[in-house]
Amino acid sequence: MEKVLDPRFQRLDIFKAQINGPTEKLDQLPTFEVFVLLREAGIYQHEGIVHAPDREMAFLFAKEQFSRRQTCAGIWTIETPNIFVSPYSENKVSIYDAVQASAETGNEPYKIFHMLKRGKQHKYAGKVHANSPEHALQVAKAALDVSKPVLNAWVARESDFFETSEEDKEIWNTLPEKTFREAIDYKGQAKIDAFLAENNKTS
Amino acid sequence: MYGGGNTFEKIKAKDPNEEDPILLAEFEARIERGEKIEPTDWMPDLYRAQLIRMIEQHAHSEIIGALPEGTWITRAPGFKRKLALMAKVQDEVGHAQLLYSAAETLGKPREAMIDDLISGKSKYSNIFNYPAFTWADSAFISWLVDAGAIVNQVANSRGSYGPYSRALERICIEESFHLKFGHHCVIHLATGTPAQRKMMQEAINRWWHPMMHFFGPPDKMSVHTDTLMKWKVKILTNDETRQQWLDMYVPKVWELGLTIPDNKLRKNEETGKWEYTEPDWEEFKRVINGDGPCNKERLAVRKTAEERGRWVRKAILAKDAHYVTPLA
Ligand SMILES: [Fe+2]
Ligand SMILES: [Fe+2]
Repeated sequence: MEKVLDPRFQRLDIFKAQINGPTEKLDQLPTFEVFVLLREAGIYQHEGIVHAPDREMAFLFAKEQFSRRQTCAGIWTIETPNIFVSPYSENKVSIYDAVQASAETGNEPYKIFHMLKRGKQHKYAGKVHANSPEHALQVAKAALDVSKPVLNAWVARESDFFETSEEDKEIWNTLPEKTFREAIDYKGQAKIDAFLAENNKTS
Repeated sequence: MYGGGNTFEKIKAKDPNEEDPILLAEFEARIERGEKIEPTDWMPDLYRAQLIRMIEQHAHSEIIGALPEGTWITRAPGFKRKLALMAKVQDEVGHAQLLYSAAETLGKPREAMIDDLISGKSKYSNIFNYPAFTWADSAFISWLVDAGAIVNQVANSRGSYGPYSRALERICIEESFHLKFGHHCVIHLATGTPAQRKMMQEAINRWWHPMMHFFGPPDKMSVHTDTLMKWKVKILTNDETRQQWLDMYVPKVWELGLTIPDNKLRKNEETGKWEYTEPDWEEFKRVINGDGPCNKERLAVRKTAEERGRWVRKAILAKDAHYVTPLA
């Protein structure tokens, strides 16, 4: 075994850590689904999940995970079990074909997300007022644009989401300044050319 | 497979011949049509098991891969390189999170994966069991190891499993900066003072063989890849990814007047294929099974982080929250 090279571990005795076997059950935090708005005029889209103890913390983790590198104009987080998932349909068949449209709305605001193509993310389709997730789909069929076949829908109560507010947006103001994270910031060709020219001269 | 991880060990799963033939035919037809498989779709046991192993190993590779470079953040030459390296390492840890999530949709919780990493049951890319002695080693990793990972990841993003493809698409976008940053660092050393050139050359000499191992054993040594290719779990074979990488990067190394420690290495213009000395696959097996220069250190660092972070996880724990499989 070679000498440990990590400078941090000259302060710590890393080989003393004793974890053998499974970590405690309690370490398994629940998951939150994260929806991101890339730019003002866009639409919210599912980006993935984070593990967190609650939805505010989920937002903090989501901010690091999903808005670190790209532009961002808003984030929604919601605990996974709070999303009602419709069945998946086959291509060209819309899940709404099996739903009875309803003009009668309810009291609870629901957000609806649609997946239009396998392999693509769920995107925000709109808000409806209904009494249950199933009812929300019925209202959505009448109220939202369902002209393209929807392969899968997610439905969740608006009150279960954590949403960033207008004032929160300034946390993303510095993103464009961080050019050291852009490939375009690393140009090396001029140096290579100079090096090659120099070499040709001497050889 | 990211870095041809543990491909020697046979996977335990139901034989596809024992699956329901109608469901299997529908599943294969869907893949044949180029459609993605989503988490709630029916899938053969072997497909699920193979994907979990592959995505999990990929995730562990990101976490462990952050360690050799992570130790160079404080010593990276200049403020901008410190910033860049810190951002890169943070990206790699983010990649691990994206990949763990994709694997979780197949039914294995993240904690179970981390347990298996710590206990040594599950593997990670072998190359990270080698030490980064100098800044040039760190530059080699940023440029050429990342380049290898990109070849793999671009290929696998065309795979059949929806959540894995989506994670990889995002990862590939982030990787472009890693590659450019790494190349930039290597150019700086290679065109610098004699001492800098020497340092870069020594790093290449050290990393060449682990890098040849990185893509996994040659196709003639790996078994059972046909089904995996048919199901689009694997898109390119180990040899195909190795050839792609050699083709893209060997000329760029030579361009800088650096040498590669393999005198057989050349492109056969007739076959269009690179010829090289076969790396020592016994060493690869030995290192992957725990006997490499840094295996113990890498896992000890993970264990220490696990142990020292435990109080934080306890403090933030929500009493009545419970875990379910994430959606996508
Ligand atoms: Fe990565
Ligand atoms: Fe990377």
